[in-house]
Amino acid sequence: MISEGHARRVLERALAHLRCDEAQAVMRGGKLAVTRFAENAISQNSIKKDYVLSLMVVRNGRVGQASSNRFDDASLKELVARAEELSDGQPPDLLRRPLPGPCPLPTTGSVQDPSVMALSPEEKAELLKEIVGRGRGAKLELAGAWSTGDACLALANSRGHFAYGAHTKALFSITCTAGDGASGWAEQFAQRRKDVDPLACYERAATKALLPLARASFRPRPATVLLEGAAVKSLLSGLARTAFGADALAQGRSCLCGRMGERVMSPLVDLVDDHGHESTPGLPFDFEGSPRQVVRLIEGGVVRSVLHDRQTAHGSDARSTGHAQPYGLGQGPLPVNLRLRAGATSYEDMLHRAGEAVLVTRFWYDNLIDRREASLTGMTRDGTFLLRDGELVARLPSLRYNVRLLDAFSQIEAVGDRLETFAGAGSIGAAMAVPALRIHAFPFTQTGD
Amino acid sequence: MDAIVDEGRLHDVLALCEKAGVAYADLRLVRTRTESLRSCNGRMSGLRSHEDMGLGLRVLCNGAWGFAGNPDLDWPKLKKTVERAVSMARASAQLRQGPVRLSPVEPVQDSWIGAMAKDPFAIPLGSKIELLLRCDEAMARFEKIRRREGYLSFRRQEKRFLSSTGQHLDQDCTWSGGLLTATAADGSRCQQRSYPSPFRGRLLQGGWECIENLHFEEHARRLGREATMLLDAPICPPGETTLVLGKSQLALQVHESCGHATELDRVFGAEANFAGSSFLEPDMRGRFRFGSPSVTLVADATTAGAAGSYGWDDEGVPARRHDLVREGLFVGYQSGRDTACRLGEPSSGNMRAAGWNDIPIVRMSNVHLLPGEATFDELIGGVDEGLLMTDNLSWSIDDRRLHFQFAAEMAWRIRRGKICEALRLPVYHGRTPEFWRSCDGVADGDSWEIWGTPNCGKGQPLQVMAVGHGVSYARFRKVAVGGDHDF
Repeated sequence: MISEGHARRVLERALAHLRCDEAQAVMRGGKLAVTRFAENAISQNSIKKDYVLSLMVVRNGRVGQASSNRFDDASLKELVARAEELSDGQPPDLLRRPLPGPCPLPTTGSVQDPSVMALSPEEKAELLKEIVGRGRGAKLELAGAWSTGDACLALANSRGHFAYGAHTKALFSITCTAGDGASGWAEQFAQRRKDVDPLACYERAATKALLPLARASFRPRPATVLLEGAAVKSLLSGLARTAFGADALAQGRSCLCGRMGERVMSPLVDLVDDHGHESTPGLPFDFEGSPRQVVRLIEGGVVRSVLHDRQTAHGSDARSTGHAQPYGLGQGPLPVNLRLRAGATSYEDMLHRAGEAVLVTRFWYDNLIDRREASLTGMTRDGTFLLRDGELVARLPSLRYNVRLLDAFSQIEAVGDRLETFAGAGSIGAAMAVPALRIHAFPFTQTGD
Repeated sequence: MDAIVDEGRLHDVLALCEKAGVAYADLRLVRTRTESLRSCNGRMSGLRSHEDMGLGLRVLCNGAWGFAGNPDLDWPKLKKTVERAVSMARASAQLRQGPVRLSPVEPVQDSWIGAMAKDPFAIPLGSKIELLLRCDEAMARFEKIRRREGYLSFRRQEKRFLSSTGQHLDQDCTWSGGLLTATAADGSRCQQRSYPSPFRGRLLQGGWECIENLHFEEHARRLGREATMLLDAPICPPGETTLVLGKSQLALQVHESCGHATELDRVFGAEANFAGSSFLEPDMRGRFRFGSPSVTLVADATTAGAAGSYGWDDEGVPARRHDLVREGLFVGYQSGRDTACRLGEPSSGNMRAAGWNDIPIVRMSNVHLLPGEATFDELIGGVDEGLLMTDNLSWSIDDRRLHFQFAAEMAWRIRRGKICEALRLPVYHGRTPEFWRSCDGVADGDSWEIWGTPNCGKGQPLQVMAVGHGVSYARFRKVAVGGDHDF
């Protein structure tokens, strides 16, 4: 991983070449080693690294950005020239906000665990051999991926601001498939090696694949569901993409438009974007260098806050919450470290008090249909069961849902007492932590029979 | 490419692999340049240029694969790359079934340049910006348009491929594309219209001529008008009806239900943990009725100007065209050297990596629905009651590529052979083989166009690639349709 000192030197060298009014240099990248397995064998084993330096230049109010993965002097000079040429070709952006000056940043929640990067491909292979051996003994076919890596983000600007953040990451996911096609899946993600237990993941997935349950059909209808963490993550991700950005609200594109201060979900819902929490460790600054705030988005089901970058904050007389995305992607401010607060109900209690319900391990291919309504569709996968009076009584086919997310989150009956952490989409340091949920009248509209 | 790394040095890398006991090695030295411009509500909100280069080395050692990517191209780093790749392969060999076997490929030394008439990187920035801002102005004439977006993207990739079996292939491709989106909102509803298609637009292989041929300005005002009109349009009613699909909607239908279903690595479980498998088993070839006799689907990496075209794939296998579904009968897969060898066949030349830093995997090149014989007017004329959908909004399909649900930005009702009112939120769903068997007409070559999907995702870690789809229009009978969750 590029150290803070090394990153600062590269960024300062880049800025030193510039002749402009304002400039921001960002370096991001890292290493990633992925051991992928399928059909009970390692199918791909790759290691890669890359770092990209982006220079955003402002000359006479005109903005341009150039980036490269080469940091030698000649390449830096070429990068600077390209960035300056781009900015000169633009019209002035009169609405642009100036870059922030030096400012204190919150304490990072990110973790750098050397034992993550120390895990060798040989060690991964050894443990996978053991896992596959167990799987073979149970007549299962195993597929999955084990990735370990690091990532860093460093930012410096012409006003003297500098920020650096880095973390390690480990992700293990596994699908176990039995001879009759029954499957189970499990995944763990963490920044510390000790928090990812491939054997435990195998046991969870294998248990589901091997449950001696007959298959049953399912008439599409609204049903009580017990959603495990990965399924909850799918629903929350749909909301995260569309609901909380101040630009989406201002432009009438969010389901929360006009609803600030209103109850839009169950009182059991507390949703916060918090990079400092142990379950969602992240970076304390965004891609504009603004300090990332802890933002309580939903409290007791009531909409409390939205997310801002410097642009949207200016338009709203607010302050940036530190959720700016990389320049030029057109995404507006987005959540990065969402946590749905855990509740008081144990998983076992959620099972036993469900009555008749559908247990969902995970959703797949979730996609928004209507952003303003926050209506989402997707299918269940790798472990969908009929639950009755606390017992799993049948294996169900994949089921398609079509749901308005605010409806789903309004119909929560119980919130699990344990958080699961998942890798977030996109950004370095992104993570999402959710508990299991029991929701009534969840609309299944088709079956995979 | 010689200016980046001396070719002799690349051969030294392969020699080092051989010395390490590697049975086969291939490397890709890739240099990529991109430029993207984004406008939003009258501002240029993103003007970005990116260049990168690096080397990806794949080795087969002890019967298993290893891969290492490195942006550092000095000799000590190249040696390190070899060590890493070999180390990864040896680790893979600790847990393998049988040894990986490869179908043969001829050693060829050649070069290929993709279609391009006008270098997009030589077009003045001002021209590109003015185009986007003029389109923005046209969309802004409608009061209820709350978000106006324009996007242009250009990409050039130079690639040198060398293998231990004597291949030396240089390829140079340029891609260009863009889109406009107008989003209208009135306080309770929000509707969008895009051209030529949403989600990073229509990407083709070619230069600035691809953008000129899109005639953005002719469509900008229409987008504003249609998005506004959709706010008050009736919602698409549920039921069973005749569906005519075209343009990006049909292209995506082909992509999701046919393109991915015929990727052979999925059949063997390579994507079981992520992108999924396929319902098309090898013994179904030549026997399984995938669609009606109107349906012929081909994989064709030679189509000039299509986003997924190339001279050779990333194993040095020449691009070719081959049938996937012939007059409704499932007949073929898209494969690589190792997957094809398991069927005792030659590779179809469908192995690609998104960049130098990625391992090649089986990818669609271009998957086309071949044109039929009816005109577009004849297809519509044969509909007593139905819907026309052309611009995709949402897509979702199960992990075996069977059960799908798609939505379009809007639909037009067809009544007694005439296209009439517009409807919002049209959603339809089905099961892949039943859906394609219900196809009773495909429009002719007059309306056949190539569409590009720039963001096809597959693999762990995720690789995003451009693929192409040539489609005209197709008619499907008795399709389940719903809107706003009315199923």
